[in-house]
Amino acid sequence: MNAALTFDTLLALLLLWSAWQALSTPKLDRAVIMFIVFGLLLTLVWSRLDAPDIALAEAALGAGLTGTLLLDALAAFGQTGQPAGNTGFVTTIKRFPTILVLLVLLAALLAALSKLPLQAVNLPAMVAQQMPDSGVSHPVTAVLLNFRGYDTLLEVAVLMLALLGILTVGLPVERPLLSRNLLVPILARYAVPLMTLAAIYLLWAGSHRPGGAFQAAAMLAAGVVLLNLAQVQPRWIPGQHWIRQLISAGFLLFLCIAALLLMLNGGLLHYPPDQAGLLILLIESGLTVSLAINLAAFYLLRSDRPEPLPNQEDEP
Amino acid sequence: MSSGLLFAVVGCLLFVMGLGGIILLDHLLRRILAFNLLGSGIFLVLVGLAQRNGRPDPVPQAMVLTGIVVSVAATALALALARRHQAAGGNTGQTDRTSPEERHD
Amino acid sequence: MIGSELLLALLLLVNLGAALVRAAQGPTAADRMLAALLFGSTGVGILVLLAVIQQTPALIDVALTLALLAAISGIAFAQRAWSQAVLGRRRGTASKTEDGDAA
Repeated sequence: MNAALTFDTLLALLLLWSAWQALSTPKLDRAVIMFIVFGLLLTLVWSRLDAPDIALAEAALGAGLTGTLLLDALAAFGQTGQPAGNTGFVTTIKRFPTILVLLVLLAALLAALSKLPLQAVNLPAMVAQQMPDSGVSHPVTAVLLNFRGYDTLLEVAVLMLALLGILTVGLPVERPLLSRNLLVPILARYAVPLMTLAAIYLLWAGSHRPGGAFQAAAMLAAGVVLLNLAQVQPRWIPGQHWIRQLISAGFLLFLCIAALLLMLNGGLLHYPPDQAGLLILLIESGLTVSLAINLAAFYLLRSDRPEPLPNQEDEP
Repeated sequence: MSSGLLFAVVGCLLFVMGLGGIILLDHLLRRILAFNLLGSGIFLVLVGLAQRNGRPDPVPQAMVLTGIVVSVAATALALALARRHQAAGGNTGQTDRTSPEERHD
Repeated sequence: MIGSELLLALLLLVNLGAALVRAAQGPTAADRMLAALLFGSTGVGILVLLAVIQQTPALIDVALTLALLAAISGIAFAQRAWSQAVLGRRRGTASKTEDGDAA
């Protein structure tokens, strides 16, 4: 058991160090790389905490989407190469009170952790007790789509809201890449069908083992991002209405089922135990498509025309 | 010390580190990174504390799963805002930390 | 048996630590990104070992996900770096000619 503790401690140290590097390293591109590394280490931490569902989501989102989003933004910000913070003596003095307050906060948090109250409710036992009526045999899926289904409903709405915000803010399309890469389309041709297969597997797995709509959607979204990197799939523009329709469709399906159950059973998302499994599978299938397009749109959707190439402007 | 409690402590450290980053760092992109670290810290505390006796607990796991997806959405929105801010000619916080437009993030 | 697998996982984690140092120090950006990619493949190994140690077969799914997706951020980074290098070269020659004109 000692080796397990050593493993955990080393993992914790690596995680903290990569987080510190992401904040303190002088250049922005280094910070982004360290953040990607932080995400990978976090996947290992979730695995150690017996949370394969979260590890799946973190691996798919962190490796496929967050990293590319950040690298994309980095290209827009440009490599200014400024230091992380002014390290002059005066600024150190100015920041000293803040750092002091943060250290006091840390001490308070750790002190609170050192004397924890006993757990008042035994949630795992309550979940286990209700499992036969949930329609699925994997507890996390049961919590997500049955016991606390309204959380998931609102989460999908939040994702749509975020996309609406991005659409309102509007992002210019960046210049197309200057050279065609020949290697990436070949990789995409082999990897994207495998990703689709893996996504379908994860969706199917969700009913009885770790997996489900979110992980499958993240996997599909990563596939779309890879197609864009391979210059097969161009950026999306707001005029493409099928994107909005598909994104809304999953949410509306979820909402219709919720409203129907409210009228029939008098409870929001109270599934009848016999049909629960089927309804959950229906909702999850709809959500997978909608969420995948929603997540991919975070990366792909652009609102303006591309800017002209700078060197074309420069040329007389 | 169970691994749940250990990673809850790590979560606290990450939370404070992320909070400090949001307050003290200048560049908007770095603040977004710090915001993500802060969120990850909270997730670790949630799951780590619930599982401090070593048994997996599906309720906080489902909550954190929801939270991770929402935090990606928040990151994407924040990046879009930051990029628009820069495209509109605002600085991303390299020199002037107290310009009024900076307060929106 | 479990003990030896845990030791192997620990060894791979130490490898990750070494890669982290390279990712933090590496003289060029490409070194850093290669180290980050090494993180992906080593992470897959650790996840498979953890699946055996903790007797959670689902962790193999996590390893599969990571194996499929780890390359994507590497590709995004490489394309960005490549594009910047080409652009930088063009800009570099342009500014040189400007300097020449000024001189």
